[in-house]
Amino acid sequence: MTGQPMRGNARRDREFSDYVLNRRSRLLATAYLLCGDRHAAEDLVQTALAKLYVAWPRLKHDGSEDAYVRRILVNAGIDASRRPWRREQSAAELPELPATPASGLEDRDELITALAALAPRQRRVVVLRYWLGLSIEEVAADLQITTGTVKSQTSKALQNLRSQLTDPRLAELTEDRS
Amino acid sequence: MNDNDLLDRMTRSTAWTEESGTDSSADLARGRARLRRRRVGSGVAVVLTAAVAVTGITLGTSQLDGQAEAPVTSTSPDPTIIIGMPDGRTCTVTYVPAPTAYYFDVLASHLDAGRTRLKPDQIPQQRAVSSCPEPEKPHGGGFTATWEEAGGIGVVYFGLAEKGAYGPVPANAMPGLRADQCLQPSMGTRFTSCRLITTDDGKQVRVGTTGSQAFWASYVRPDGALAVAMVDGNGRNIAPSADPADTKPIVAAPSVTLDALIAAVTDPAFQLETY
Repeated sequence: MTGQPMRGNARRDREFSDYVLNRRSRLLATAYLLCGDRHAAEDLVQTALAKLYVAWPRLKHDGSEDAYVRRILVNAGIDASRRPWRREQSAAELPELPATPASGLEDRDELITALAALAPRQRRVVVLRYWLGLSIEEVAADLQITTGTVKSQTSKALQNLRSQLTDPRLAELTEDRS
Repeated sequence: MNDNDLLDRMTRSTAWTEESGTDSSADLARGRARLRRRRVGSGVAVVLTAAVAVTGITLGTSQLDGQAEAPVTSTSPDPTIIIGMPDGRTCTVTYVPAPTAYYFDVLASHLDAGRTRLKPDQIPQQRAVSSCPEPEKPHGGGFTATWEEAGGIGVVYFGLAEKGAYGPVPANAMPGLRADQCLQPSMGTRFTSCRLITTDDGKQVRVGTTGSQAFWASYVRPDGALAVAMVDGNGRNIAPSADPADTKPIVAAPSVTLDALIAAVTDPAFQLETY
């Protein structure tokens, strides 16, 4: 009895560390798109990963850890957005990006601003479908809503994004993606 | 040009995150700290359960929502906590390895001798040591473990509660184990069948089932202690407050038998420890 927990802890630490190294940047990006604030996104990811560490032994390591931490991020992100201390948004704190011909500061701010203007459910649907590439059925399962609601929320979200994003290419966004 | 353009813009807007994830040590430390806090919270609940049983302390209804937190006046760095008592005293509680850690081995010998399915929790079994003077008396112990089978994960519980440390409690007190129920109040498992049977050698054992997914056996021993063993194929039932986002698959029909559970709870190898 005394030896097994130590081996288990070492294995958990190693597997968890590998997971963090492979996934952290993706999780941070997801959180940032959900909440629109770099520091809040970091907080969300830290909380989600801490919860994941606790649950690690009970998760099958076949991808369900991704679903587990994704759901924490999505739910926690929305919860955090309702807290008073999260009402202050500062565009000045958005990170600097390497200047490239295709990506200017205005381009980045515009997208984050447009996402932040969406209703929470629309924002979650957009991030889950377009950023994480989940199917309609997967989004419905994650958010515990019907596939019809996913479709309608996607349509409304894209319509709102079109009205706010100036890139003419985005005018061709359709809700037919599945 | 299509939705890929939106993905492109998302990628550009989050390019700064590429620099994250080169060091996992901070996340590892936070995960360990969260695990320790959960362990201490559970430990406090155990301590309070014993306090309720021994001293008759009752908690207000409003405290029941946060059983573990309510009486804790402050916390110091893990693993010592400070508990405020109703009489104004404060006691520090620390944790040391439990002398009943061998319980797992005994239970495994009945349920899964090869230990291919029964896995110990990664938190060592511990007991609380209080600074408040208490007379030595017999103590039981308990643990939860994991049942891994057919790609699913269930939960296992064993507890040995000394005489006086189980039974009905006042309405506002924290519920604990009872000899007349198939219920571990801090877990989510509920049994659809619960009845008292008499074994071939005359022992009266309470057994419970929920289909082929959950099994319960409890026995009041000659020394007055209550032994309880439970296997539930649904690992989410380890705590009612478990994260709803948890996605653990369940074991629809754990390969355990009531006979094995009965043999376990009637095994005198589980001994009370005096301290």
